[in-house]
Amino acid sequence: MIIELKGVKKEYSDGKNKKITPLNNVNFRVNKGDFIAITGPSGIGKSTLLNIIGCIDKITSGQYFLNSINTDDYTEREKSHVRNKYFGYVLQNNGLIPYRNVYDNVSVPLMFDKKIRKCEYKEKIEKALEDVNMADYMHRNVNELSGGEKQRISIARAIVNDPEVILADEPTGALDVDNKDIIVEQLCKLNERGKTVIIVTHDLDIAGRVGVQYVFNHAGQLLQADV
Amino acid sequence: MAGGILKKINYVLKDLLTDKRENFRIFIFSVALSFVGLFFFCNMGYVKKHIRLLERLSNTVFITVENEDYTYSDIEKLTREYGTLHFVGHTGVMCDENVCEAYVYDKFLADTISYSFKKGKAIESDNQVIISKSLGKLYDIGDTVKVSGYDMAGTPIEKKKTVCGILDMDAVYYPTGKGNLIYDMLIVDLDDELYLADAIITTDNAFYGGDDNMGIFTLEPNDKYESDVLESLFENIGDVSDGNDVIGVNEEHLIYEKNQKKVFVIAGLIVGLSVFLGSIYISVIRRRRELGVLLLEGAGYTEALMLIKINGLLSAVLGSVVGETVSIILMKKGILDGYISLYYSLAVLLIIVLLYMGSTLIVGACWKREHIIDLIERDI
Repeated sequence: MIIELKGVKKEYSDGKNKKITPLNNVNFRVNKGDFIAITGPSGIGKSTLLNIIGCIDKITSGQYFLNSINTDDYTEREKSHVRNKYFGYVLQNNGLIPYRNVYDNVSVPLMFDKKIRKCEYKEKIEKALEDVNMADYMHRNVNELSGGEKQRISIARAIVNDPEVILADEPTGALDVDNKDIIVEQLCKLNERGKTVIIVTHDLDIAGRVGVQYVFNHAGQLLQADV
Repeated sequence: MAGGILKKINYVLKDLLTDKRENFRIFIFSVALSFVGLFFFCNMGYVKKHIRLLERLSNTVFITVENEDYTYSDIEKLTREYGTLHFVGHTGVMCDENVCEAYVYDKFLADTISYSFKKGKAIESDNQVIISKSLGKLYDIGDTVKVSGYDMAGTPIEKKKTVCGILDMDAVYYPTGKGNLIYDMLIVDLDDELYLADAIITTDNAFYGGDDNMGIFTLEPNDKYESDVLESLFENIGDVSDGNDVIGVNEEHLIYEKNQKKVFVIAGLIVGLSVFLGSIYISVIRRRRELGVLLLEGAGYTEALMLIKINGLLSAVLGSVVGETVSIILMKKGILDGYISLYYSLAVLLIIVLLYMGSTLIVGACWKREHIIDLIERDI
């Protein structure tokens, strides 16, 4: 077991003294090697949950255990370290740096991984790009790539330093059908190789292709769906 | 740890090479701002020095010696002569066995001063003189001194007198650029009346410089009063004029010029500053997604901010060095008026760095409140 949320609540203000509670008493468990889809209507809290899992957001109450360690006591520095070490992120709009090339974009997580030396970059980046079938694009500028190609580069960045968990937030949201399939296939391959993948999507077709589905109800609670 | 730093240096250097347009913009604005900034400081320094020199020169005594027998060393020697006490200005005084009292006044103040005798006694005849205790270091009771000055009718006097008393009174030292002049007091008998007089003797050399060939020598008195005294010292050996006659520059004109230039330079600085800060702002705004990505992938906040901004800082510093160099060259060639100082150069460089870092940190502080994902995904 690597991720466990117990009674997690997330609340924030909308700036007009109104409290919004996207997560309410969420209990969630992820084991190593799981492939999980989280679905629900837009704005329900799916991305918020992913952000909490990825140590980008803090919880309001409850507990979040990562590899049996309560993350409540983590400092910001430790959270940065956790993000780099345990998680790879695939965002809806790919999140690439537009004025840098593929090599530089994919190398970003390696810069903050103290165990990886500069001389090891090339080998790791090449391997990550090969995994997403983008090895020939190493020195291309990301602005020259299509949406699907950018998303594959984003996946390469997410896996380059071999994290345990891949978090994908609507990775196919901005893509056409063909590219969508390619991306889902890439994520499935990662899972087959032992990575834990958690994908947030409102696309039920995609959700149906993964192992475990969780659905948000309108009360902000997360329920496991029967697949 | 060294490996981590190397990776980051590599990231910054790549940034310098890839984001050429942005870095070049910051470089250019830094050149312009540092050029104008350094010129501003140097010009102000130049004008300040100019005015100070003017003030000094307006009090300088220029002596054009007509007698070819007088040389540089003769003039120098004259200013060192201790044996003559030159007095100007006097007020009536009354002395008894123990004390001398005088009623003194100037434009602002009227007062009675009273000095007791440290040694000796009051004047009994007109060939005696009473001196202060500072002059008492040079002369003692019974010594003969040469005294020169003007009597009440303005007639010049020069007489030898014997010191009969030393008053318990301090002299006042006036430092000049090159030497010291002592304002001191003595009491003389003029026309059977006792007078307390200011006496001036030169101690060190107030002699400033001169040219044997041209026969022109300069002395540097502390103020107009002293220059009047020195003029009287030398008028029997040459033509004496003060600085204003020679230079012919007036302070008002210089201040007017300074103000005129200041307006243009300040306007240039404001424009340059606005453009520079605007450029930094735009360059920082452009990089918000990159900041978000770095934070997402494991950077600390300050670390991420520095990584995306250090290349711009390098461009700003380089631009500053170039701008200042151009400014210095133009001033050295006399095309621009400026007093060059290393402190000004360092100050301008420091200001540019602080402006850059300050504006970056301000924008960064605003961003710190934003969600990492929003930094990456939200359009500005």
